[in-house]
Amino acid sequence: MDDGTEPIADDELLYRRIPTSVPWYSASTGLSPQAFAPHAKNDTTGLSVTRAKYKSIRAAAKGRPAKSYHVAILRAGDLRQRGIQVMPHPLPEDPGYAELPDLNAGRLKRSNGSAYSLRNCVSV
Amino acid sequence: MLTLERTPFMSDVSPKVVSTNADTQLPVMSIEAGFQAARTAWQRLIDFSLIEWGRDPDRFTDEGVEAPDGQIIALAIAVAERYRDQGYAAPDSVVPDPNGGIVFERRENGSSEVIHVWDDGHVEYMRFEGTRLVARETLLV
Repeated sequence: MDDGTEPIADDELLYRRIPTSVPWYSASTGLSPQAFAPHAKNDTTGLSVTRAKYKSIRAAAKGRPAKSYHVAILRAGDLRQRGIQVMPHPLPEDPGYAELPDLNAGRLKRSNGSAYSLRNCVSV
Repeated sequence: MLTLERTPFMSDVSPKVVSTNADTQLPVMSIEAGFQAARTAWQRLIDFSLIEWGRDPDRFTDEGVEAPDGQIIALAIAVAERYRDQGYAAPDSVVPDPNGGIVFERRENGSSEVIHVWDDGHVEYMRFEGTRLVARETLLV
């Protein structure tokens, strides 16, 4: 039985929650790389994503009460092809939690290139 | 006071020209019309995005998102007005970053140009060819 510590396979899908209150996605302009920019306090070790094998897309879309969210879908292999590592980081309450360590707060002002490369391998 | 060190942003400056009315029937946008269209597009971003954000600064506050404060919004407006008045092509979008900054972005033929107003007031220009960062410089002194 997997517990979230097993390596993430290239064909695994990952979810990234994107608040609808922020104009990071629209049908006309597509997805902004800012949706993948690390937060200075929350993403100190990497950008957070959820492994689809552990959570439904509906559950992944749940954030703050009374808020709504888009969910971006990424494939682990596509990220790795672009030089972005994907690491499992299971939490007791969320075994599907994972991180993209290349996109961390310490590299905030240097990581835009990586965030841009994500634009081409995501569906929302 | 805001001083822009260089102004490389957003492709070529659309030159002002004297209208002769000779080509008004052509089904293409004149250069002057292009200048006006760019100016209008910049103004739309200022009026309908940046000023609106200033009126309701907490609208973006969510998990993992810090809304830009009034000072950063004012700086972004100053940047937008500068490039509007210089006739640069307008960005396709302006969005907040997750840390209280603001990002202008323009895409064309597989390349992207970005002006990033960081939350600390630092302003940068970046150019991407595809997803590769090919130019980056500070715009503020």
